[in-house]
Amino acid sequence: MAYALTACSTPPAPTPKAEPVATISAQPPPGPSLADQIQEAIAAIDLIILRYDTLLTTIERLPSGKPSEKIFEEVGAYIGGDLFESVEPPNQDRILATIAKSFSFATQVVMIEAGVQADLISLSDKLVDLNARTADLSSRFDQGKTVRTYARKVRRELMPLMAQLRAMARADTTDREGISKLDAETKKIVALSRQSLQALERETRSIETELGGK
Amino acid sequence: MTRKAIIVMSSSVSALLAMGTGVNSYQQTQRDQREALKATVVAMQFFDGALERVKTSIGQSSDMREDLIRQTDALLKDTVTTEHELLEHGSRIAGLSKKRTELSLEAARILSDAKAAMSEASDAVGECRRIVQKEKLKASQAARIEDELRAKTKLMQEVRAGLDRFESLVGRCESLAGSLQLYAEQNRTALERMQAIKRQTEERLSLQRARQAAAQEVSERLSRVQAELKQDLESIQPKN
Repeated sequence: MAYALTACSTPPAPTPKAEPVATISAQPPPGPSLADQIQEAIAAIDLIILRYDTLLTTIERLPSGKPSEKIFEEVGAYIGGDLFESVEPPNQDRILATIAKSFSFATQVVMIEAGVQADLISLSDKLVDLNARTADLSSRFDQGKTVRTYARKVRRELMPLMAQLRAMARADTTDREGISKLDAETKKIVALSRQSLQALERETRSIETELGGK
Repeated sequence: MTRKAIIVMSSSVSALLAMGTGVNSYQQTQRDQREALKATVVAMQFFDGALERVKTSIGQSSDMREDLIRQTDALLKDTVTTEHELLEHGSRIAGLSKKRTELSLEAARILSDAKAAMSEASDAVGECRRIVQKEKLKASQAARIEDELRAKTKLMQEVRAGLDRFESLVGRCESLAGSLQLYAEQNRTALERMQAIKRQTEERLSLQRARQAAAQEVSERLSRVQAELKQDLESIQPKN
């Protein structure tokens, strides 16, 4: 009633500034807008891609002799796998169990030695979190579905492809070194063969000349 | 009456306020939707950028791989040429071995003949000396024969030196035989190694070409995703 009366009063008296401020401060702070949440999701994907790229670089730089191509293959399959379809909060036990199941023993040993496994666990946490975020966006907003679709495409297609491309780059590097060595070996073999043959031909001619000049 | 009017007015004001709140809320929702849509467009552009970066990286690595393929292909051609050259070296060494056998035989024959002749000459000189010592020849005859014997002995010494040279030649022929045999063995090993290098190079070239094809396929796949993304982007982008 008092409120109605106040509203009725003409002309409205200039309301003291303190009153609405007091009202706003009494309310809980507004949550992030949808736009903010989308931006946060994108920032999260960006960070995930960056961390993943760093992880792949570490694997690519493993000393030769380590089965890095196999590791890339397993990492790509793991990242693109079903673990990150869950919208439940990140669960370390579940992540560890999936890692144990997804990677061969040899790969796990190499990853632990290279300090990659901890990064992979951290990345997995972020992927589970991202999936929960995009699932939430998708349920609340039409275009959220599009964001979720492409976030999934990034994880399911782009990230395994990134691993595949690194595996190819690693194989190229190994090949480049190998081809260079084989090329040097080929040149050495033919040069030595020519040199020895020429010496033998010279010696034969020399004997022949001496005999001929008997 | 006044009370009634106040009640009516207050309820009307309440309705207006409620309507105002509804309008505000609606406008807020619309604003949120617009902002969210803009953020989605930005998100899609981000995805497009991520795809483009990977495609660029594929393009760069493909160029480098193309260069590697050229190198590998050149090595393969080299191994084929080298293999032929080593085979030809093998033929030449077989020719040299045959030649060496002939030279050895010739040297041995000459040496043997020379030794026999030398022995005969030596015997003849010895006999002549005995005759000169036994027979009483005229002094002038003896002196002439002695001169001839000295000349023949000197000649025999020279021939003996020549024989030493032939003996050394026979030794060189034997040594050459060993060297040729060793070379033939090394040539066989080199040829086997070259064939192994050729096989390895062929395998690597084949794998590189497979990787290049896979990279091409990945690039095409990404292009399809990009095209799909662009369509989606157009469909959600606010029209002016």
